[in-house]
Amino acid sequence: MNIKHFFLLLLSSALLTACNREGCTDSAATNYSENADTDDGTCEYDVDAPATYAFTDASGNSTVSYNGQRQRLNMLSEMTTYLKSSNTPGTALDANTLLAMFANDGYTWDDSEDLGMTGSSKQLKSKTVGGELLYTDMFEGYMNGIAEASALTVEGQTDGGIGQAGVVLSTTNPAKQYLQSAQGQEWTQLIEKGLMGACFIYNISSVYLASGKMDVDNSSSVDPANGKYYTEMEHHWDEGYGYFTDAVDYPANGTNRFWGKYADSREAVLGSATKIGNAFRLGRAAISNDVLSVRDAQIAIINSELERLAAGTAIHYLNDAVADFGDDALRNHELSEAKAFIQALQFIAGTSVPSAEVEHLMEDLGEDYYAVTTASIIEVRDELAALTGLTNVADEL
Amino acid sequence: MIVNNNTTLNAGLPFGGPAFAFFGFALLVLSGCDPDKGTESTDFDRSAYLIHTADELIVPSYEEFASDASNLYDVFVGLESGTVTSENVIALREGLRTANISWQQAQLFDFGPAITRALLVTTNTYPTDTSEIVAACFAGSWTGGLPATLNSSGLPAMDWMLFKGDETEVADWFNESGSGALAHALRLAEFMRNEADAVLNSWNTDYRDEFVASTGTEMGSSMGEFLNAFNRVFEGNIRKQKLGLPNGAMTFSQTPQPSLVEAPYAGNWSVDLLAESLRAAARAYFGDGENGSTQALGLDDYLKSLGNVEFGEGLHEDISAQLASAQTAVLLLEDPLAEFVVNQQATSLEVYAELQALVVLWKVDMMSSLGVLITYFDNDGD
Repeated sequence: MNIKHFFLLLLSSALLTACNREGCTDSAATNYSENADTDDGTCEYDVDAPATYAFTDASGNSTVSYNGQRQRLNMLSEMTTYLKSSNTPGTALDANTLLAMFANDGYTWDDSEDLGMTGSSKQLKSKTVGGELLYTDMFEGYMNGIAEASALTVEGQTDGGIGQAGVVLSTTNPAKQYLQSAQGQEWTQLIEKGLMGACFIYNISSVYLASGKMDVDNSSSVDPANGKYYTEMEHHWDEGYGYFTDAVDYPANGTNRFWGKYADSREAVLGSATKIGNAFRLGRAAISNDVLSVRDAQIAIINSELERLAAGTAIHYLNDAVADFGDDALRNHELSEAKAFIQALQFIAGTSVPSAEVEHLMEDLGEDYYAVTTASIIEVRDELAALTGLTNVADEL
Repeated sequence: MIVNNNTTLNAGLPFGGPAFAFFGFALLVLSGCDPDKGTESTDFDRSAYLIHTADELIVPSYEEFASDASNLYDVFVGLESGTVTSENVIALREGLRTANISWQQAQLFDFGPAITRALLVTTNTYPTDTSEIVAACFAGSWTGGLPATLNSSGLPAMDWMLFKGDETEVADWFNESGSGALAHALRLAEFMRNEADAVLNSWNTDYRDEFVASTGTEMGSSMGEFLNAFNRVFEGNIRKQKLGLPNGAMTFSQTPQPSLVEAPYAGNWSVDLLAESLRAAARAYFGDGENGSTQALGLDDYLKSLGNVEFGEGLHEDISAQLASAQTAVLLLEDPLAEFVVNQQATSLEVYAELQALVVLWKVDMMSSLGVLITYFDNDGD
């Protein structure tokens, strides 16, 4: 790793709130100015971020490994494909199959990338917030719910609707149909997007980038004899990255699924994909160079951008639900997505939307998507935007 | 564009100039995306166009619909169960027809405040669910604006209530003690009036200014919102709902579904409403307000400003010709449309083809000429 000086232009939000003395206001910079309260973009760092997420030790061995995360992303992809098959009426899902996928317990995966998923110790369930407790129960409840409802659908019949679980056909886009509960909740979305929150974002933000996994050894390789050339801290950072995307060149690639996909979808308004990708690369380089102040600055950026991303995506779907209000299938689908993205916010370290706020927003939205009003959806949207500082862009999302 | 006026900003403040210069720079950077990314090159004055569209087309159309909805409500309010006459029912029917006609223009502007209040779906979701309406009459209460009540709301619900029998039978129903019918019809009329008022009020208080200030063509701009709504309503609510679904054009088997016509209980309005909606779409295209000024600033002028090219003046001529032939074709239809789509389905399919040709010209050709993206089939992948 070459160490060189370079100039990083940071246009932080601090610029917009204070206008006094100019200088570098980032304490992680080598030329940090205590007296400055307006950043002038001159901060210098001792760390360079590479163009891709590729890092090697002094002998040229790669120190990056997130195979376990890639396995879990692939598990959720396979589970999502299976869940979505129930959108075709007459396709019954098996609850035990879903539960076996969740716990990676006796399920044979397609494993198209040959990662050794079948029988591996990796699983989604044990990494879902709360472990065996609250949230895993919730997801297993959804899995049992969708299995039960899917078994009652009849080939060729889209008979879901008010008070009736079943496949609901879009009235404005006949290509769209979704299996939804009697209240219009769509289990597939609550499970897929729900695990993006309770498993992926939780592990990124509250586990691997949190002090428990960051206040660790960064001086010696874990086990070079067995190919583990990384330090403990480097490895934890990589595990956090792997839950965001498994592409080394994000956002050029890795925009096909999960957080990498949704960050890319809202990029024009939020810019989170670029910022999160940069912050992961710079933070990892900082760890390799043992400049932990720069690492910490990147953790702050990642947490802040994850919050904007989850909230901005929820706002996007709430906007869609208002626009598609008269179309039961689309409105219910979009509200289910919004619900899961709002719930994800509580799993981000330092969140502006902790669990009590999530609960409050969920109460305002209500459980029955056939009994919402455009006013109640807009109220939730505006509250969420105010909490997360997205009021000015809420209409664009 | 942000104006960085150092002199003014510094006048009353103790801080130095450079900080403010930087403040201005930061705002410039953050707001510095170019809104004009359309492929067109034209001197067309979009600002003047938006002002004309708001003030001469959209707001007047809401004013008229809100006024008609209010008049209908007033007729209901003047009635008392037990003394309703068949003449009263005839007056109510006339009021409903008037509101239904003016709705055909207002429906095209389904964006902004109309979306926020779900005006289109609370006003005109059909077919209406008659058993829901009967249940609401007996229940003595009804909440508009919920997904569960959209199919017992607005013009279609009142169409059934006022035409479920002849005028004497309807008067008897309204007079029948315990039917709850008159009180419920009043609730429906009141809800429709309130929603129309609320949307008009939003335009008058702040949305109009917001609309005319957004002069780009990017997603979310006023052009983008207006043209997406115009195309979505013409394609989905006019071409498809008023004709394509009832005459079977949308299905492979082409089996007519006569119960899906608009205003089926009035029986003799369906074609009038379709013809009126086509005139409304033409007015929106030419920019003509209710006064019908042919000099008005419209989408036709926008296309012509692109020059004597196929996607400019040429496209305008194609659209004009197709509008004329669609309007001629609609004259072939006869009410009751529910019978016509069965007995003369072939003719109705020809008329449908004329509407379909307009969809292609407006949605595909015009939108790309103007550099505005169609976003209403925005499939986010799943």
